[in-house]
Amino acid sequence: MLRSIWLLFVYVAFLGLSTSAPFVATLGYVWVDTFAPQNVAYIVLNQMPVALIMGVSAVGTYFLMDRRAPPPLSAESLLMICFTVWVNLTMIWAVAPQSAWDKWDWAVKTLAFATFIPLVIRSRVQIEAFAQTYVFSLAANFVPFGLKVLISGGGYGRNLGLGGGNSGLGEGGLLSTMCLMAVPLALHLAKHGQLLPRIRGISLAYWFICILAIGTAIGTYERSALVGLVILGIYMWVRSKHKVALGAVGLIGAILIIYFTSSAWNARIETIGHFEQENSALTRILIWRWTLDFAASHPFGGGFQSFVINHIEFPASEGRPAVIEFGRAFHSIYFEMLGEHGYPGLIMFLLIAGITLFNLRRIAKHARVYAELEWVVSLSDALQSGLVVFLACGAFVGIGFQPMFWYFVAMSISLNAYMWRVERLEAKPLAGWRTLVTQVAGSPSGQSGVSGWRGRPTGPGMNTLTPPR
Amino acid sequence: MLDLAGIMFSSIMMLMVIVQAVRLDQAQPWFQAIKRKGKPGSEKRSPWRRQS
Repeated sequence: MLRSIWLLFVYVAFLGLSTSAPFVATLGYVWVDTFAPQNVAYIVLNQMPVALIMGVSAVGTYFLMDRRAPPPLSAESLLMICFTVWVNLTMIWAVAPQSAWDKWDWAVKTLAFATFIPLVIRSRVQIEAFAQTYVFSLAANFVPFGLKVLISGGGYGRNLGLGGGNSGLGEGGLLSTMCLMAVPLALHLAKHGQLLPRIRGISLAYWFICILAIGTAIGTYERSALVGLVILGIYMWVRSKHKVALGAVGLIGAILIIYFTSSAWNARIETIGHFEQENSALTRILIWRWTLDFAASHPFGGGFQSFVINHIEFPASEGRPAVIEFGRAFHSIYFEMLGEHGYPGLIMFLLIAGITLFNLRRIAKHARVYAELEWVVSLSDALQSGLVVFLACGAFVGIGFQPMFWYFVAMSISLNAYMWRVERLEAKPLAGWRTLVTQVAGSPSGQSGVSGWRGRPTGPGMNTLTPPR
Repeated sequence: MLDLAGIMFSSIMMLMVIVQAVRLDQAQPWFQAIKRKGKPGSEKRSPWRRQS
């Protein structure tokens, strides 16, 4: 009961604060989407369409009160719009319409909201608030999970988190990937966060979150978590300026993991090397082979959940006759895109991931020359690390439409737009024929042709279109 | 008990973040003015420039 009342208070706080600062409703949607309070509350919230109310509030307050300084249309945003249209189109020729609509219901909302986020999240404060909200929303799940792992150990298929069942964050592959993606973000916030008091206890809290996130990932006994952990360590080490210190921390961490993990965990991880005999790995190989054949006959995909029509023939092995299994999931984001949305969908997805990573590297390179933008470099590195983890873990888990990837892309677009703004602020006023052109276009400031609500000041005494004195 | 601790910890931190974000969002300019980082020695004036 106490839990339900508290969650109701938090939910109402989001709605209340969004009346004075509209971006808070967007953060509220991220909280509802990531933490899912309706699944853990016993009264009120479990009987309300909490996500719908928060989503309508986020979009409504933005259009009514907050359409200042919209970001430029980026390649990623354009691709996300095209991708959203395309996945809707694939519903026309869906091979399993009933299952397809079930997934469409949440996947399209994720895509649409991720496309909307960069419109709302524009300033440094808003970008950081978004990252903090995401990390803490996720922490509600992995803090108890991680503590239980540290106290009593984890286990494959054991759900120690808040949600029950084997779906959503109750599924080990998804939970471990989300936890590992949150680690670099939490480390960035520990160093550059400005929304919590700059005291030692706060930094320790972020380190505590990182340890519990890694503990949770290991405690799920997912092999993809180990792959993600290794990739995360390597990528962070390559991007780090303090290679010796980070290398030492990584080495100590690896020793601790080897020392403290149980023989059951080691036995589970060792099966990576015996994929021919291991049923779960063999299943993946057979499903991927089926997907390639399916894509050859359905190059535009079979719509959401098209895997439900598959039948996989397992060859006979020692002591086990040949068996046929039906409706096995794709177990990979790449094959999920290929099987559901064909080659166009896969290409768009890869382009979104590739362009986002490329732009993040570019942002970091540009921001490095400005002392004030050290946080941009750090956040860019954190987002890159998180995305690389997702792309590595996602090779073995079908989580292509889960929100975290799209939230990371949205944060990257917001960061890119922020850099674009700042570089424009630094740019010298136009001179010569360019001034004439912009005056003809109707902008007296000589900076751009933007007028109306787009040109409204974005802070006290600050006009985004005028360079600072 | 641990579940409740996790929920309380995360939501209290999050509310602190959001209250501070609302306050700063209204008090600070959205886009910060920037200065290029000086390379080592670049702060010295060039010898040919008139010293004031």
